[in-house]
Amino acid sequence: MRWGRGILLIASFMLLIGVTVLAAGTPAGTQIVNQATATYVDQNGVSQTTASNEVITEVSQVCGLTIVPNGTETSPGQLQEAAPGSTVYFSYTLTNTGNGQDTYKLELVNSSSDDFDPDSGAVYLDANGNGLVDPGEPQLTTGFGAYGSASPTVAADGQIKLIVAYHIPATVTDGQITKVNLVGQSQACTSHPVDDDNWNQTTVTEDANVTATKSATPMSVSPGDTITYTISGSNTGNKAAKSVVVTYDGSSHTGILITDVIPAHTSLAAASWSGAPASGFALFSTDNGSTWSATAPGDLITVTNIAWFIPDPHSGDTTKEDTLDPGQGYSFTFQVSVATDAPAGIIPNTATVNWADSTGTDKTTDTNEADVAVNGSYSVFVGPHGNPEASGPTDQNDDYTDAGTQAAGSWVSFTNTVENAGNVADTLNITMQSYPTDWQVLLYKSDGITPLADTNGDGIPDVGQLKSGTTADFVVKVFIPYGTAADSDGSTTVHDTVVRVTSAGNATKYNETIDRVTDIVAAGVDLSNNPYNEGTVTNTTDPGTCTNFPLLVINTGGAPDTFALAVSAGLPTNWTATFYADSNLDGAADTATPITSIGPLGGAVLTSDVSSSATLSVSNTNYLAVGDTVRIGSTNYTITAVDTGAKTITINTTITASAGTVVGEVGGAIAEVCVPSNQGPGDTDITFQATSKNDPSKSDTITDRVTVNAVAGVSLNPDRSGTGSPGGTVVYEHTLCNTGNQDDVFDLSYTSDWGWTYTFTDTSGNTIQTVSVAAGSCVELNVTAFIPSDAAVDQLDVATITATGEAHGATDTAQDVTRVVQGLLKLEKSVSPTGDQAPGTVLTYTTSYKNLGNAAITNVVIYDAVPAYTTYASGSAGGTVPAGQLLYSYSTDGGITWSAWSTSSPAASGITNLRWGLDLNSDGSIDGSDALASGASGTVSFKVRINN
Amino acid sequence: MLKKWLGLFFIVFGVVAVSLGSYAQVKIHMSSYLVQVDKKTGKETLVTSNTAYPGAVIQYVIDATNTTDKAIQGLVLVGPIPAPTKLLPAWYQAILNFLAGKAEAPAFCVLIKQGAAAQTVPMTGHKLPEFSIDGGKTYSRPPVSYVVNGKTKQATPDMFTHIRWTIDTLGPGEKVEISYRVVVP
Repeated sequence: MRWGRGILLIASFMLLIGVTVLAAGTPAGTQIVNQATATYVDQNGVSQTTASNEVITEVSQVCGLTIVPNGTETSPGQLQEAAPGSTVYFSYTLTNTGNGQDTYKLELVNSSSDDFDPDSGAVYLDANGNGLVDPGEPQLTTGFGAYGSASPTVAADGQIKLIVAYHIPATVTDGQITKVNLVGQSQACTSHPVDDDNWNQTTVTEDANVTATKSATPMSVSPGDTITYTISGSNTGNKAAKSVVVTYDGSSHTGILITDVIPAHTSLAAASWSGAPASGFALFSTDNGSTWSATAPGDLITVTNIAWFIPDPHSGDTTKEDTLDPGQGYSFTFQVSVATDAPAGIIPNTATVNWADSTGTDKTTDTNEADVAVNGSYSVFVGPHGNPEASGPTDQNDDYTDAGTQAAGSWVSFTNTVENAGNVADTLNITMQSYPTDWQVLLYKSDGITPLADTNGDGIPDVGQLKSGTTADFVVKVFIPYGTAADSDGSTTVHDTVVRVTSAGNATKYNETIDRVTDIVAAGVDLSNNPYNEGTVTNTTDPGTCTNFPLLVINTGGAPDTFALAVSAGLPTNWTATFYADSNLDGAADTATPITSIGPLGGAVLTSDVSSSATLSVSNTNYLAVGDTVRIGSTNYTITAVDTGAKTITINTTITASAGTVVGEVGGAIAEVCVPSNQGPGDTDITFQATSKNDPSKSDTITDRVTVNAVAGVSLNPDRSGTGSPGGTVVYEHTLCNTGNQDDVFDLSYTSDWGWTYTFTDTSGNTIQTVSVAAGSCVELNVTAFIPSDAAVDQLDVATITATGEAHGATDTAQDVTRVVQGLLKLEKSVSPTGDQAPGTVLTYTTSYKNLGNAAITNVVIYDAVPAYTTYASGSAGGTVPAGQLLYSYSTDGGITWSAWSTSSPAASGITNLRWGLDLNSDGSIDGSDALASGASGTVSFKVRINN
Repeated sequence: MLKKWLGLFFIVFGVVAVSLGSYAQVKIHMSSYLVQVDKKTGKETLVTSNTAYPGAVIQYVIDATNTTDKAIQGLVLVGPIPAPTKLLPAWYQAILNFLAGKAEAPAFCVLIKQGAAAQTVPMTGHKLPEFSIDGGKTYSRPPVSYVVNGKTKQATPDMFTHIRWTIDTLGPGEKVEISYRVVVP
């Protein structure tokens, strides 16, 4: 049975060293994870955040150990007395002061300057910490001067109990001493640090010698558990141990007294004390051992010390008498309850026996230190900011943070607080238990921009290690997808993100909190006329003109959004609709640059009830600027201040709670509708549409009306002039256009100064009096002037031609001016070769002229042009005259300017037009003295090459 | 489906570096070095290492590059002091000494600009880094103080959680580099 218990205790030993508080530097293997972030304003004026790579540094192992009690060879740390032939036991505590797991080898060293050498020695692992070498507790070292086998693994900051035992030879004599040093060496690091100042000393005595050891069970407890301490020992000396004088209940008594301190975080358990020999009884102190009483106080929590008093035969006097015979043992057992709020860690305890040797000299024997580990108890809470232990309607798992109404297409930030309510440092993992479908959830540190990292390497983000009883904040950001449907039913439908915090020390310990969005404002837009008017606005315009409809685009979605502008219905073919920005809502386009969308327009949800204030808390201030027009409810306001840090806007008027839940920027646009010139009169309804880019299923329309005026119009062009001989005719071409938007039949009429006769013909030569012209169309018509045969030379007839719409009355006139001339120069032009010709062919144009009049004519100049797609052959112009000489002139700009008259054929490049002057008197100029006689004739000619 | 999957990814790994639908115009990178001091000469060397002993000094270097063709305004670089490390007391003390007029501007307190206008700018005055003792919520210029029970106390280096630098303008293609030091407890 003893064996079984020993093995059990060794098994639980690892538990004991597992419960440690970090004190010896950062644990080996810890990952230091760092990540920088940058915030900046981008080219579009939008705040951006970006994070760097993660940099990870792993902490390396350092080794170290301490063994206590310390002692030098000249001043040993532990002193014992022992009889010849007995074995002495010294308890030591070895602590791993490194930052990682380690094992230790131990060595005993005997002084070379003492009185005698022990005849055997060993170091044992005191697995149960009772100060005794129990069956099953391993022996680590045998003899002196050499390291033994390695100890079990000790965690960083963990400790093990060791017992140094050595045997006193039977031959030694009273007063002789021996000194032994315990040396420990770390194994995990190549530097192998040692602790070698742990000397003890044993003095041989042939008098009484009372030993004392102390055990504690169990070795590890949880808060609320009970510890049983047992102190036992015996008189291992050769003479009886005498009593000492003890005062209790106000009077002196004699006996052996075993005292103990009730450890911190524990209290004496009721009626838990007993001891041997049976003559003994317990004493109690409530003042740290200054005074004692044989009667336990009513409230045992006040007990600071307890003792077992073994009276001598005449305890009432002050004479020290024999109390414990050689070989006689004693024991004392009591129990303490561990406080429910006891921190994790070691509860140490040492008892002291007060006795006197055969000469009556008072002596004390201290027990080993009996350590009990208080296990870590893990408990975590998470809740709304600053209230991790919050309770919801049911329990502490459904407490919630209500973000109220939020907008689709926005991030909602929740700050939650976690608490380590356990008694030991713990790492708190954060996970999402559930969240609305398609939403995104991101975790950040309390700054709201650094992503929550995993600091303990378990792959789960956490808030880092928290000391017992401390709290930490973290931020949960949820993104409500753009297309989320509206929800305005209050708490009937809610949108919960369930956040769970789980203890890394004990994964069964967790707590949840809810980050809630109660209602959702869907993306939305209100398209209206400007000024605000949801009705139909009618614009009246003429055909061939454009008319503007000022529009207001109001973001009703509660989040910044951009809206596409379009005509959704009613725009006739050949009409155009173009949108322009009108940022100041004045009804006029800002610039001539067309737009197809407007935005981003600011939008936000009012985050706190408005109670008669002009300064409003909003869910975001993006794109909301001073001077912007915003709509709250059904009223427009002007922003007078924006505080991006506090997320407030100030508007020009105080409003109250019922004003609305959403602030939406009002954008202006101009819809310019252009009507083609042939558009008939009448009404056309056109529907404009604004569509959310956040959620293209959300749009609004406004239908406005264009009334096209009835317009009558006609143009008759151009004015013409010509010459003709008496009895001849002159034909003038005109173009008549119906510039109105209605078909009409136009009456043709004329007036003549001299009463000449004019007729109208169509292009086919048919005589007409009226002409029918569709709206927007033109027709060609000819006017023929008949010159009376008796008309005087140089008579000038001005004819006014009038076209008048029969139905709509539009009228226009043109003038044809005809001068009667005496002669008549006949021109006939021919080309050679005739017919279709290949490129490169040279064509010769020849014009013959003849004065058909009955008198000589002067100032004769013949014009011709180089046809399109041909090039004038340099120097090819020529001709004949009946007398005198030909003069040449040319133009390279289509006849606008001409070169001076010359007798040589033009040879310049780029010639577009040619003219020949009949210098019939060879004086070098063309004037009134150059007379072409009646019947005289000649030719002029030039050559061109058909362009390739 | 993709969106949902992404959401799950973020939750499992807790990593966020995405601003929806936009690419990063400022590229930020962090690297770390062990600061090793030759005990005889006192000369410092920076060693690349992904391990460190307790007591080691780590120098973190943050560089940020403007990848656009336009200047970036109001760039703020935030360097956390990662658990369980602490800001190197000497690093902070050097700034205090400078502010008290006892020493020159610390040599490490510079902004290294690279690219077209390469230069090393001493970070004095309003360019000195700011420090946070509340997890990055608020920042103060050194010397940093805080109020507890109505009394103003000076913050100690072990209290700092974040450092930040504000760079007024970062030209197109320019790169800035700042650094700070922490100690492993």
